[in-house]
Amino acid sequence: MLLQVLVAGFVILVTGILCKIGHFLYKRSVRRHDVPPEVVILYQIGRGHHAPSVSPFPLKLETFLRMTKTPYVNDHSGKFSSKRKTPWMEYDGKSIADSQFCVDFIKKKRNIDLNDHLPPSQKAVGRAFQKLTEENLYWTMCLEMFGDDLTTVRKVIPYTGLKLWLTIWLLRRVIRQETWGHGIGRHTPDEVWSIATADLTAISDFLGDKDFFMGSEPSEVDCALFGMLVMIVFNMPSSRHEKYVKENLPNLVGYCERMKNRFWPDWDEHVLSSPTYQNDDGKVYFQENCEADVKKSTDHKDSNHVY
Amino acid sequence: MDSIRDFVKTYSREICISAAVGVALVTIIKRRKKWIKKVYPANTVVHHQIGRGPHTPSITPFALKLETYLRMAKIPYMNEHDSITNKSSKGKMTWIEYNGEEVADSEFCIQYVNRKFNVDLDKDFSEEDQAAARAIQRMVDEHLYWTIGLYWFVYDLQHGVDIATLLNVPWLVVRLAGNMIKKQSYNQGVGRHSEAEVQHVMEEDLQALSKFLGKKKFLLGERTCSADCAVFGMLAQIHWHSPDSESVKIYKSLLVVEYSNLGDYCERMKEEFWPDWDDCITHGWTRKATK
Repeated sequence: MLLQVLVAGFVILVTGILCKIGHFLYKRSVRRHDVPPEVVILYQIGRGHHAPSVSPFPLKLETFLRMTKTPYVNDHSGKFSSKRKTPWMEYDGKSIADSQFCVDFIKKKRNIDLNDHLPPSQKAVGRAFQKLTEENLYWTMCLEMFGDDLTTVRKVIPYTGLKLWLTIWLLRRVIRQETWGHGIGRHTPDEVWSIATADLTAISDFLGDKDFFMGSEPSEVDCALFGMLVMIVFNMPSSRHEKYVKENLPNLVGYCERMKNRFWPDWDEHVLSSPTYQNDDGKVYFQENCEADVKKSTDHKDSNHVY
Repeated sequence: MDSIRDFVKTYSREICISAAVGVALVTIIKRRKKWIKKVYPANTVVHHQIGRGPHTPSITPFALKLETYLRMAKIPYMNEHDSITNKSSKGKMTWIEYNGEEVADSEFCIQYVNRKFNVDLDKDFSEEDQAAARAIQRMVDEHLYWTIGLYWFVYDLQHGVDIATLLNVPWLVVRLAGNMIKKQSYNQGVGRHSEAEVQHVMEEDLQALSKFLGKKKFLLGERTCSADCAVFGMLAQIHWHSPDSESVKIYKSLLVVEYSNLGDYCERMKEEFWPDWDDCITHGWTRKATK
């Protein structure tokens, strides 16, 4: 009798788990937003407690869309791209993965170049700093957050209970594997820290007292740098990275505030811990540009008519 | 098949014992190499690397970067071409030993050498220039490197290039290296892109290097800085590699269009720091390198 009860209980549990997984996968397989043409659907993992994202790459991409006033909607369902990464986007039915490829795609489609005021050597420096930030500094931050002390990461990931535990456990395994393959995961914590401080100092030294990274006007690299530095300044409380930046590199803190005020005046509406937080899943930004583009193409059509 | 099964069944105990003894022997022999430490001259950096390459002093960019730096900073050093079997503590093939102390990773080796010999090749450049040079080094070592690795060990094979002969390594090693690079670059991120996308980002990195260099003699002007070693170490791999490789075709097509300053830069660095270049290569595996 007891055995039968146990077996029944086990079957119910497994069925329940399979249903949940099936529902989870189904939700991720359907497109949830129907949008007008030429509106970007930006897939990301949802807002954070202290910043509009807990990851630098969605924040970089969304800042780029705002900087270029590209019409877009957010999909916070956490659906992953074909490259098993996030963020990614859809544009008129075409999927593009990888934040930088998304940026390149938008630039080409909308004929935008945020770097056109820069000489070639400065564009090159911008690219080099983007790679320093995304291919190197980023990994030092992952190792700091998911190392031996998980206090900080538990404060930042907006889940609780089993979901939080499972997310951290999974991310730790993935990051260990990824950083070993990258190479940086083979160093000691002190060696990784020396790499982090060298990178942060280089960013600070190059920024100096300029308003934006390449001068008085923002450029493309500002999106990548802002996305990454926001993680340190807002999303890594009590970490070594946060202490180092706030105590030694105040120009980076000032830079984050400037970028935030310029491109995220509605910051508090996208931060979970703010009393004015609003879920913007499905809301169209820069709708006026979308209508203007449609109007432009309609006007063009009318001008061909012979009355 | 049946006879093999019968053999294994009959002699299962003997097979297990042989396997255990084999594993133990290999482990002891490998460990013994570490226990019996060679005695090197005092106050001389011992640069452990793999053997000389067919057209460049090393087919690994980090060994060429580090050795170029030792020459640039005029550090007394000797080479030990043993790192295939004598890897660093981090499982990599470029490391140094100095008065019994071991240091792995080319960047940490450079910082170590700077401390020990009180050297700072970058001190006379402005902070902004030093910062820009560091960003260039990161782009080259942490991004461009993976695109070249993918071309050499994954895409070239798919295009039918005989990498085993080009690099003088057994076919099996090429396959294993390819699998390793695929896995590592997937974890790093670049390996998740298609070949066309990898080509695109490789071109963007090379174009950025060219634009940053511009008409300057070296990265930051008339004098070299430490980042020049990283850039030279990486560019040399495609500047002097076999023209059969797709990576070289992409590089050379850029030189022809408008980025020829990269080729001139490679030749300048070679002339400045490798006057004995011809003695440090195997000339397509036709002879032994004498240095």
